[in-house]
Amino acid sequence: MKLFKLSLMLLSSLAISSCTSTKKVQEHLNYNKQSITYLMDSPPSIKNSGHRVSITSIKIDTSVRNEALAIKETGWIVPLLAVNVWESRKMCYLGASMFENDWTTALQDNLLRESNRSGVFNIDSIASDYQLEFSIDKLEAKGPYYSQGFYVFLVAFYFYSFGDYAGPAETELAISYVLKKNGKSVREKTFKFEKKTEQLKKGYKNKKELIQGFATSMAEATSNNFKNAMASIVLDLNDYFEGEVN
Amino acid sequence: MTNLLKVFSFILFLLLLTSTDFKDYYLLINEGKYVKLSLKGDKEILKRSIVFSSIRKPSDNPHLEKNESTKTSFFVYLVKKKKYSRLANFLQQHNNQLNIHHFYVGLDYFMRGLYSKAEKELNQYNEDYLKYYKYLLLADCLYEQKGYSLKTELIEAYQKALDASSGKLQEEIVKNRVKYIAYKK
Repeated sequence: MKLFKLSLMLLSSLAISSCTSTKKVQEHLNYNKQSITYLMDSPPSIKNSGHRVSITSIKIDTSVRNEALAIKETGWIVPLLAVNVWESRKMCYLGASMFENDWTTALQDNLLRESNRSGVFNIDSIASDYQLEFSIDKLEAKGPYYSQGFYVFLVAFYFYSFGDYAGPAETELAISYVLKKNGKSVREKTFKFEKKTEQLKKGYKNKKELIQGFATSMAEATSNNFKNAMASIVLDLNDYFEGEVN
Repeated sequence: MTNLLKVFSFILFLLLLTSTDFKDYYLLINEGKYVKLSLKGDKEILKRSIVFSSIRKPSDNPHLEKNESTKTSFFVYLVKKKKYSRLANFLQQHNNQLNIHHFYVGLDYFMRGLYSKAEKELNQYNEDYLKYYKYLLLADCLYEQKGYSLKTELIEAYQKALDASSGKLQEEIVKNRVKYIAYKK
C-alpha cells in the first residue's frame, strides 16, 4: 500500500513538473484565426482634391514570416526523485498564417478604409494618373513564453510551485510607399511603428488559454501598428495632393 | 385528480420559468462605477455596459420632467432597477410625439433582449443629444443578432459610435467593446 502511495506521489510530481512542449505552444498559437481589426482615430476629411490613385503593387519582404513559430531557447529539468526543478523559455513568432487575411489584403482593405475616411484623394481600382507601390519591409511580432516550477517530495509531505507566463511581446511594422505620376516617382516615404504588449500571467484557466491570449495580444498590437501606418500614409499623401493642382 | 393537478401545476411552473423574454445581458451603470470596475479589468463591464453620466432615482412623474438630461437619467434608473410597471406608465404617459420617445422605447427593448425591435426604434431617433448611445446600442444590437459574422459591418457600426462620442471615457468604452469582441472574445 505504501509503495502504491509512493508511486502515485512520484507520478503526480512528474505530471505537474512537465514543461509545456514547444510543439504544444506552436499549436496553441495557431489555434484561433486572428484579424487586423481596429477603429480609426483620424479626423474625417471634408475636402476632396479629386485625384485618383490606384495601387499597382504590394511587395512583402522575404523576412516577413508566414508561419507562426515557437523556438526553444533555454530549457532544463532536474528530474530527481525527491526534488524536481524545471525552467524553459521559448520564443514565439507571429506568422501570416495565423490571420484571416494575408498581408496584401490587410494593407489594401485598411488603406481603402482610411482613405475613404481621412483622405483627400480617391483610391480607384482602375488605371489612374497616380500609382501607388507599397512594400512591407518589416512585419514582426515576437515574445517569450516562460515555464518554470519545482516540486519537493519529502515522504510524509510535499510542496510545489509552478507557472507559465507569456510576453511582453515586441511588434514592429515598417511600410514604404512610392507614389508615381504617369510612371515617374513623385513621392516616397517609409513609416515604422512599434508596440510592446503587456506580460500575461494571471486570469487564465489553463496554458492553452494563456498561449491563445498571447497570440491575440500580438495580433492586437500588430493591428495598432497597421492603424498608425495607414493613418500616416494617408496623411502624407494628403499633404502631397493638397499641394497639387488637379 | 390531485396528482393531475400537481402535474399541471408543475408544468405551469416550468412554463413560467422559461416564458420570460427578458435577457438582462447588458448593464446600465454610471461613469464612476465604470471607471472603478474597468480598472479591475472586469470583462462584463468592458464588453457589456451602457454607461450614463448620471442615473437618478425619479420623482413621482418622471415623464413630466422638462429637462431631457434629467428625464433620461430617471428613465435609465427605471430600466436599471427593472421597475416594469413604472416603466410601462412612463412610456404610456410620455409624449410619444417627442423624438426622444423612440430612444426610450428602443433602450427598453434593448435591455429586454429584443434587439430587432430596439433597432427599429433607435433608427427613428435622430436628435444629436443621445446620438452616441443610439449608435452604440445599434452596434450592440448587430453584434447580438449576427455575432462576429458581419465583421466589416460591425466595425463600421462601432466606428459610428466612436465618431459620435464626446470625451475620452466614451471613446474608451467603444474601443473596449471592439477590443473584447475582436480580440478577447
